[in-house]
Amino acid sequence: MAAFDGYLIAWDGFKDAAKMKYDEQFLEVLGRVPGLRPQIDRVGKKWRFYTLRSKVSLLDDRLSLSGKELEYPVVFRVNRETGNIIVAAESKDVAEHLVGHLLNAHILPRVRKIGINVRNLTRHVLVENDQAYAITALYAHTPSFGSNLKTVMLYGDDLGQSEILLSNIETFDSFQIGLRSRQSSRESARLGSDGYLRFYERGRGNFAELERCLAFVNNLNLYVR
Amino acid sequence: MKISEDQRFLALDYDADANVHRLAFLGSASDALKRWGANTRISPIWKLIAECEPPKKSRKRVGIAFLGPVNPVLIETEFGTTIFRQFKTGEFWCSLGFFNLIVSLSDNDEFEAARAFAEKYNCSIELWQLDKAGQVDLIESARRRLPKVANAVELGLSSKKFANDALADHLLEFDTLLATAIGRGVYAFPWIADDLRRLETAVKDILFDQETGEVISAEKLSRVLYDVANVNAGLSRFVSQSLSGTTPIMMTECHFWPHSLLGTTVANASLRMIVDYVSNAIGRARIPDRIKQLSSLHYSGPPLFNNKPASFRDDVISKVENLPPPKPLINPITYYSGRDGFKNDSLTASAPLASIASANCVMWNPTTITHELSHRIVSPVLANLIPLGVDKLARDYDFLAYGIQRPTNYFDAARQYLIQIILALAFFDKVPVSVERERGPEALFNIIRHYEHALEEMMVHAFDFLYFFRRRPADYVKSIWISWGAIPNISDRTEEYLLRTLVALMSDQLHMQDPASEVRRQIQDVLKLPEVSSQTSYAAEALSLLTDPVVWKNRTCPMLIMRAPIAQFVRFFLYSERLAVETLRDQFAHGPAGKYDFSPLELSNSRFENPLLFLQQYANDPTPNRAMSVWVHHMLSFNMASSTG
Repeated sequence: MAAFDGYLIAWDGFKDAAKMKYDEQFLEVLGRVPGLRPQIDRVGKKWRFYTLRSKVSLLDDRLSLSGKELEYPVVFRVNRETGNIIVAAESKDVAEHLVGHLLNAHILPRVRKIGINVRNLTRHVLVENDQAYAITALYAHTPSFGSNLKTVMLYGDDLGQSEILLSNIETFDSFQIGLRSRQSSRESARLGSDGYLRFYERGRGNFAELERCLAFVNNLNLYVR
Repeated sequence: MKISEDQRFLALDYDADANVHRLAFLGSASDALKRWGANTRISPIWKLIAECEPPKKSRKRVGIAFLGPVNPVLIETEFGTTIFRQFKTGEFWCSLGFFNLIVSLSDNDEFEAARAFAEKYNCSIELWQLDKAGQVDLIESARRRLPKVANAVELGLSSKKFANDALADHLLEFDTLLATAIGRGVYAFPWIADDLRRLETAVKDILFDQETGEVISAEKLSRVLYDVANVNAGLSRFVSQSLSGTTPIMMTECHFWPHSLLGTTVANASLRMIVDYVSNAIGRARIPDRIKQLSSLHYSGPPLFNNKPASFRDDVISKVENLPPPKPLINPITYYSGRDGFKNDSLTASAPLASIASANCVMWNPTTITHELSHRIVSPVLANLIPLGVDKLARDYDFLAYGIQRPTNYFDAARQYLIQIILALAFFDKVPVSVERERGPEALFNIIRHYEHALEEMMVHAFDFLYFFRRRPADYVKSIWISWGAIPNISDRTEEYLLRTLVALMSDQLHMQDPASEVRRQIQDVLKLPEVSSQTSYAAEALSLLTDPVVWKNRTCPMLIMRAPIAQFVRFFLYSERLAVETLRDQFAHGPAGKYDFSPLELSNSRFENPLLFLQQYANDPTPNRAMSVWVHHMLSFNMASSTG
């Protein structure tokens, strides 16, 4: 099971989807990004697998000792209906570099991160009955306690069942949440207010849990553009 | 895309003899003053620096595109590294006006590209062609297409029958101002029409009794005239500042003359975003309503004065239930004024004109408006708790004045506590009327009148510190003392201001064994800082009151001890850690410290929610910097995620 870190992004360059599908349009512009090549042995319909080549390490400040380019697997997913794009890599640093330095240097108009209203998402999952998801992680600021208490981080299988969260949620301003489908024992994804995503590949090319999670957020109208 | 420190002036002149307009880019305002004519108008502009290198050889300017209101970073988002191939003059500027993005154009393709940009990002555009002498030909003026705002307001309060001519005239002025504001405002920001609609309803509520629908009575007339005149004054400035420089630019001049060409729309929008945020965040907490409802909360303890509550962390007001249905929140109309400075009225709020060019520095940044807005909460709370009028006081005189009877609910506990605080102050200060307690309600009424202003101010300071300054003593002390530095001739009030500060900080030190010494130290530490003492001469005077051991022991400390119950009152009855989250939160702040990662002067697409947190982080400079101020106004106007709940 590989874990991926990435971002949810928007691109204002899409033209009429009737002439060419959103994913095809974006894959076309990805061809302009140097160092980014599709993986020949991995072809997915929705998820597209690429390799990012770099002479400089994107994970630390070392140069490649062998002089060879370093390779980083990255994935893209373009939603055909909404045009929302997921960009991710096996490390957050690589994903940051990809969005901030590569895509925005070579793709016009530039891409923008889509935020997620984690505060309202947390409240919804806690308050509404019959939730499809349980909370497995929560990072929150606690601004009304002054400098006495600034941030809390909670982890567990179902934080919504803990009194510590339920009785204090009004003083928490959450900015990252982990969700677990109630039909599964494993975390589906982590979502950040800045559009940060952490998710897992369950079997080769299977990202269905993340997709369901994002559909859940989208249905609640909790994207911040 | 970055705002540079390279400030120029755009100067437009009208030559009546030749019937032509001429435009010039000037290096300074004095260049404009040398050639000033009857119709000259200017606006400062700042060069925008793109991330990529500009061409070594740029093309000549033959036209200008005025675009706005729009986040200028979008032009870089749209064109990225090809920006200089698209616009070959390499000249991009921003202003604080309605048209806040100005692009120099070199050929017809660029005119077309500017049109397409305005179309895509739904902003207004005005295209000017320039000849060699700077003569201007207006070749296109297109307003942005906002959703239709049909029937935004009724526009007809002046048509109603009012017996008083002065009131009818005031209302005619109100109607015409409102009509102009709507006519222009719908092309600026979507929130303007909403604000104006609510304003008209609020003015209507002033004119008619809300229960009977009858026109206001004759005895209330002077108050109504005052209120409507105030609204008109604020609205008039709002229109002449925020909604001038709209298209056609040549026909709408701003009356703040350094910005007479393009207006100050972006600066006004930023002020409005702050006021909107604060009003909504604190308005949603419904503190005055909660205080009223304290009567439904059973209280079983002794009278509070001299009987310190077991815990000041009870969060009493958040326990109140069964609140009445909320009334719609009204955003005060915001404007800048050299004369009014920071001022709060029932339907208007102002900041000093200096905040336009100096929003980056502590002395002038608009954070100070939270103090004014805190009065909107504390004032009705006091009005609820302290019945003004001898007759009303007479009803509960023994309970309130002697403070011996046990209250049975939190509302009674609060008002008894408050009256006891006032009486103790009067006794300590040897106020003449205090010794006449036996005179009963009339004497008590006089004591309340004597202290009501000082009491409200101290409560407002504590409230402001707790709800808006994140309980950070250093930030709060620095902010208020430097902003006081801008007010001349208040040396005789230094002690009063120091006591307000001490009381405010004490509201967060009530758990300490010796809170007076702790807040004394906190204030001393800040007032000694060179960045503070150099900006306010009052800091040295305040320090002498704190550091002289005799003065502290015999005067300042005893005065503080007598006022400590005010801090206790605010902390116990007005502050709630649950409710305060509304004013302090921002899920888009990063990391354990909850800070933003914007780069100063760098325009951005990213969102944030809390303008106060933004100002505390980025409007901290010791001295004014115009480019930074422009950046602060732009970020507040275009990057706030105000739609999120």
